[in-house]
Amino acid sequence: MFSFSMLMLFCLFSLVFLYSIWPLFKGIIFNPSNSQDTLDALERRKTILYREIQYIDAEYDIGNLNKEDYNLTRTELVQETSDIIAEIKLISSN
Amino acid sequence: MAPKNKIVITVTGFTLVALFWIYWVSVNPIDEKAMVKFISVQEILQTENNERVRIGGVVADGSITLSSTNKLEVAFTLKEGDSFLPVEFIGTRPDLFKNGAEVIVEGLYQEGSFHADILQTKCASRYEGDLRDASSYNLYEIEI
Amino acid sequence: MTPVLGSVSLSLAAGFGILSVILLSLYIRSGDYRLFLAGRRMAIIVSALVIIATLLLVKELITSNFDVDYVAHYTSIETPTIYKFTALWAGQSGSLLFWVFILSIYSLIMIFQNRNRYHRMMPWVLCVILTVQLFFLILTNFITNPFEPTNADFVIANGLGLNPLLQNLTMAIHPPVLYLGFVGFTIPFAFTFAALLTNEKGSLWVRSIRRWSLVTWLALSCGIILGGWWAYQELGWGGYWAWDPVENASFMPWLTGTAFLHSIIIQEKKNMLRVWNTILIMLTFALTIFGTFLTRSGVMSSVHSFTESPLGPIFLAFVAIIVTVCAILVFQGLPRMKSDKHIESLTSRESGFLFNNVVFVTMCFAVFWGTIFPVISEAVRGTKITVGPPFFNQVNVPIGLLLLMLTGVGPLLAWRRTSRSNFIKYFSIPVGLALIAAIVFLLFGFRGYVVISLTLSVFVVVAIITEFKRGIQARVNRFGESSFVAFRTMVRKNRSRYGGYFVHLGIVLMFIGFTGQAFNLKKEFGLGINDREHVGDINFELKQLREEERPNHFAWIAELLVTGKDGNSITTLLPEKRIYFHRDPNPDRRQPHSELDIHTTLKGDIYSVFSSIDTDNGIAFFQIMINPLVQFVWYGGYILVLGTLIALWPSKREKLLT
Repeated sequence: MFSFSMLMLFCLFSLVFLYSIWPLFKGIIFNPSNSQDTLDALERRKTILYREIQYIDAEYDIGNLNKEDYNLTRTELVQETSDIIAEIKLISSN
Repeated sequence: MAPKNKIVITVTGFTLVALFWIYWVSVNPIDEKAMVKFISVQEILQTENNERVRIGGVVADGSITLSSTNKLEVAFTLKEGDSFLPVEFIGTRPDLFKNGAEVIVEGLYQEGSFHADILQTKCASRYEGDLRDASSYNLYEIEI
Repeated sequence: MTPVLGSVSLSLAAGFGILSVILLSLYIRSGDYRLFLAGRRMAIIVSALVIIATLLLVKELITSNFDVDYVAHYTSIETPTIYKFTALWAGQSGSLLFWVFILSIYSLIMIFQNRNRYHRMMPWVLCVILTVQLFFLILTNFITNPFEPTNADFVIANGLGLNPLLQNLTMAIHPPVLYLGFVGFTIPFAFTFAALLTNEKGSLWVRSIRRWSLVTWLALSCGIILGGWWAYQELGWGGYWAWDPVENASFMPWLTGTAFLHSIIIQEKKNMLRVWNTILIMLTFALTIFGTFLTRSGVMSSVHSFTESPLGPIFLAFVAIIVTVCAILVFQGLPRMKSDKHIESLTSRESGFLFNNVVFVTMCFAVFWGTIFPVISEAVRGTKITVGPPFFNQVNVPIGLLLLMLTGVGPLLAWRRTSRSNFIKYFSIPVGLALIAAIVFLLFGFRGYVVISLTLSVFVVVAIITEFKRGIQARVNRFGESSFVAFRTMVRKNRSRYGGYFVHLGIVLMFIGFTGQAFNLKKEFGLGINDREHVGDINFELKQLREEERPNHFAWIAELLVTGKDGNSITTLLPEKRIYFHRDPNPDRRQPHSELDIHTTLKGDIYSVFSSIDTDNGIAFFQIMINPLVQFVWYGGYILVLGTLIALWPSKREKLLT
């Protein structure tokens, strides 16, 4: 037994269902997965490293880090940052 | 000793001590009220267990008797199925304590009656009732 | 019509949910991005349908459509509108729908936030969230459907309504706040699960879920404190925490959640404790489902009610599946997850965080043990043993004090290792002042746990103050800022840490409040007019007994004059004894209720309960409690919230990364 509201509901349901499976009918989509993700991740890692360096500078000032460990860690961080900058350059130029 | 080993040993040691502590309190609580057996009315009438126990049941209709001398003292009968247990309690009675209320008592059984020092009624989390039971309504209902 | 629509929405949501999981799984195998897009759209539709279903139920509640069984059971025409709305989470089926409603909102926010990133993890994240949604949808579709029509032989003109005793604001907001906390942990769990499965090396996603975790944790903390507040203000037994299974159900995930919050700091900064963090969030999530099970299946009140409905076993099965799958994944992933860095010293900040984890998990286990012990003893030995507050208090007090101590010790330790000279430099003042305080407390006559608790409180407060001072001093030295500017900038540049210190200060205040319980006094007595009685040093005299007829109840109002040791007037307390439905011809349907009156000061509360009245002899019976320092618990709570807000406050730089 069809009533107007049932018909409307059925139309609504069909529209919603079509909306959800629509992407399946598009042509092959370039999967943004790999390189975009990596570049993204590297950029963020770089920002985080900059902040980490500032952070341990502050920690050393406060006294939460002793001189030896501070120098060691800072060198590690700076090294990692330059490595990442190099990698970013490499990927972006491709 | 390598720091890593020191840490593993300390953490493991602490965990073992903690687990033992939990076990120890379980079997030797300082307060006897920490771990109390929960038994049925039938069981206490049969075994006459004189350890501290908790018993659940329903207040038998018409059994509530207030003492004439001490208004904080009450005697009533705890009912479970067909078993009846006389209970005495001294203290503030919970608001929901009345005929037919579901209660839990905790205390000691002595010479035929139960001396409770804790009396609890079931939490009024909602006004439970059977919708089909017309007598549970506040107002009118229409029959068709 | 709308109830049917509601049911249909729930069924459709389940259908789309299954489809979505299928599509996302296919994407994971094939890598065809179109499958991901379609799957994601369906996930959005699932959440939308759940939200629609919930709104429909709200509509039925507010318009009092008693053809819906749920509406008839939990509301009536007289129920004030706001409580018609809050009936949404009052009953079992409504609260389960509410659970998945909140999860759906969180899911939509999460999808929107991450629409352009974490492409490898997202399908897994969505699958986990969808699985949880599907679990609740199965429950609400097949087992307890909130849209179930009323089963009665007559048209219901009015519902049963909400007990007026439950109609107060705190009781109304406590469940949703608690749910916001409970449900929220699903998101960080989903991300951790996904990271484990996709072998995600980086710790960027940890940073993203840190905010989620903090917001969730805040909601859970508020929910727990609100529960305690309500118990204290309304229930009349003078306490705020009874170690009840339902209370424990919310406390356990809080414990592991707090450990998780602390521990992910180490993962972000040092990429260590990864295995711990994975286990902690999995435990927290499992505990939230287990907690929902404990609260909603009725297993704790009686094993019999547990078997009446299939709800209990299904929940338990779900928890078992979660725990098993997680355990397998962790075992498999162990070699990959272990960090190549190790904690270098026992006296390092990293080590402090590790101990923090261990102690929190221990306390969680202790609470868990006490909570399920009755069920286990019944299953194993046939005797049911109830575990009461004395057990929990005895076990947890030392563990809690250990945590309090760590709150102070942690910040004083240096990264990687604390040299002997630094150890002496940083610890001497806090330890020294604490020892002096201990001597003072002992001289005052305090003993045992009270002394330890108060001494540790002093220790932690001094430690936190020295932390602030050191930070300010460092900025003053390097940048020449004034102390005030240095303070503001320092907090701004490191909101997590300094917000966290405020939270710790809040915890210290709460511990002081807890310690006050050792000095609680309680007395029950009857008073006629002009009779006097004393509790401790405080005197109570009944000056007057009034009667008042009010719209929905009858009240006796007692006027109690409270005076101190020297006869000075402290206050007049007006506790009431009310009878609701007092005109009901059936005396068993009349509902007595004691309306408390509390005199609050920082030193302590004077808590009065009008328990009963002997009208024949004109004697009113009271229960009086003196609760020293209890307000510190609530003030501590405010500071805790303030500290968390400071930590959460958005800064321009965070926006880049989250």
